[in-house]
Amino acid sequence: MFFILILIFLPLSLNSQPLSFDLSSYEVTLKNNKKNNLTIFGYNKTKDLLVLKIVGPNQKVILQKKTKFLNMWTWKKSGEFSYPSLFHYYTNFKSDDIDFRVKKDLVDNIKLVGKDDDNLKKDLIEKKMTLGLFYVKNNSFKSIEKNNQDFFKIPIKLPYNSLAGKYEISMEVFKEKKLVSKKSKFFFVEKPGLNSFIYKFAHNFSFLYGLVSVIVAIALGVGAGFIFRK
Amino acid sequence: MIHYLPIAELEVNIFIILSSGFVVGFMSGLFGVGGGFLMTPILIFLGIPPATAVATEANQILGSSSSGAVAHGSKGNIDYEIGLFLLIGGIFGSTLGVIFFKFMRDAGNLDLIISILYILFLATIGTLMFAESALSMYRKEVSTTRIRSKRNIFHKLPLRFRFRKSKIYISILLPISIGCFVGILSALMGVGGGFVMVPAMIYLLGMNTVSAVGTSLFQIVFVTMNVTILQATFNQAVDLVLAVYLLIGGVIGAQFGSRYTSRLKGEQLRVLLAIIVMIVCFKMSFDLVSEPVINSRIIIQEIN
Repeated sequence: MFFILILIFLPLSLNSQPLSFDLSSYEVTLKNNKKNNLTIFGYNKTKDLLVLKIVGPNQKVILQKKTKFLNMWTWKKSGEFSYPSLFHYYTNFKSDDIDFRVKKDLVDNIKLVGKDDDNLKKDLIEKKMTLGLFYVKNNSFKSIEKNNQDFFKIPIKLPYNSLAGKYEISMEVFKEKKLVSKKSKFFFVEKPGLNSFIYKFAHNFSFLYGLVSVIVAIALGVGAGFIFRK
Repeated sequence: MIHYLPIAELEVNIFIILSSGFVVGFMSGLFGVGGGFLMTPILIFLGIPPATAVATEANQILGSSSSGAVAHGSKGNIDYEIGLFLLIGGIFGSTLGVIFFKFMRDAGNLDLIISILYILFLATIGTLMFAESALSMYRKEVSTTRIRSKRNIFHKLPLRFRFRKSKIYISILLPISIGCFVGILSALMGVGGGFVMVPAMIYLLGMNTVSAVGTSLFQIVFVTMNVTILQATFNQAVDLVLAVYLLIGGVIGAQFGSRYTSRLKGEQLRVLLAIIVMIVCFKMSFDLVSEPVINSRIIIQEIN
């Protein structure tokens, strides 16, 4: 597999392109396991700083925080946001400057409906980080061959709670702290299987889903009663 | 044995869910109760969002009650006339409950409402059950199959109707009110409401115990059916996968539980149940006032 990819990338490198990358697949199927579901393969002849960025479909969300009410803890609506559902950053080495840029990029891409009077963006970013939907990993470019450091791969694990849809993946090149080039590609994430079907069915055909739930429950209940009575 | 629940949107250990269903089913079989008022808090303790726990439990109760309702129906234990008025109230109450549920969910206060309702109900039921059982263990009263209610203010209500099967002459407002109250409970707490309805039918309406149980099950089936459809339609909170696991565990547990019923006296069983109810109540109260482990959450509204 790797050799095939190297053969694909080799002509590109010979074509005097300093940087090139491609995806192991343009259709990613999310499965509920620990394995990586996407690998980025690339060729880099420069010594520049590279940042691979993955951006998920946009979504509108409500952030709720626990507050005390009469000495009891309850959820309170804190803010309404519009932002990409997933942000993953992978760099080829650690740099404080890039760390700052990545954090700024995260904050700038989150649009708060209303006034940010309580560091809500910070809370949202922290929450998304714990869910694995916002992720930053330095030194994540792995060499494919021991003798040749130009070919690299980046193993990526998109969390199962990532949204299905169109994702943008871009490679940004930084030279002396300045963005000098950017290349983008798109890929699609899908969630097959019964769980995904049930989720879509429940949200798109809610009434029918309710009817099916009723039928399944009665069938199971009456069926079990019949079996045990026998 | 980790499984992703599509509506609750979290990973759970199926063995724990099946075991919970089994344990509550076992207690249902042992004590002769529906178990919804124990299952919903347990699901919340396991991390299932309260809205999903309530809606899914209503669906599970539908499954577990339907078998009993069919059995009672075939034996002629259901008073369909009273059942109809209970049902009118139940459908109205449960619809009202689901509307309130949605309103409170959008406002972000649903979890608090569910917890407070549970604490109040579990504390009341637990205390009453414990006191009544402890007293009867001393008095050793012999129960009768029919407890005639004394004439009180309820029997002076208008729109009185003669229910031939149960041989009672009462206002239709009584079963409608009971049904409505239980319907609201069903929508907000994910319970069948048999623990409220059966005593009310015996002591307030004057029905005999067997008929009260059969008619209660008849009402529970249709009300939980209404709650399931409305919760799925307006709140997208019914997790069918979770309900199926709970039903499987519950059905098996109930079979084992019912085998042990005869080994314990009625009063002993009720004291035991009262203690379990009080423990669950204490845990819910503790969780409500203690510092939360998770203090923020994200609710997706729209995907572009």
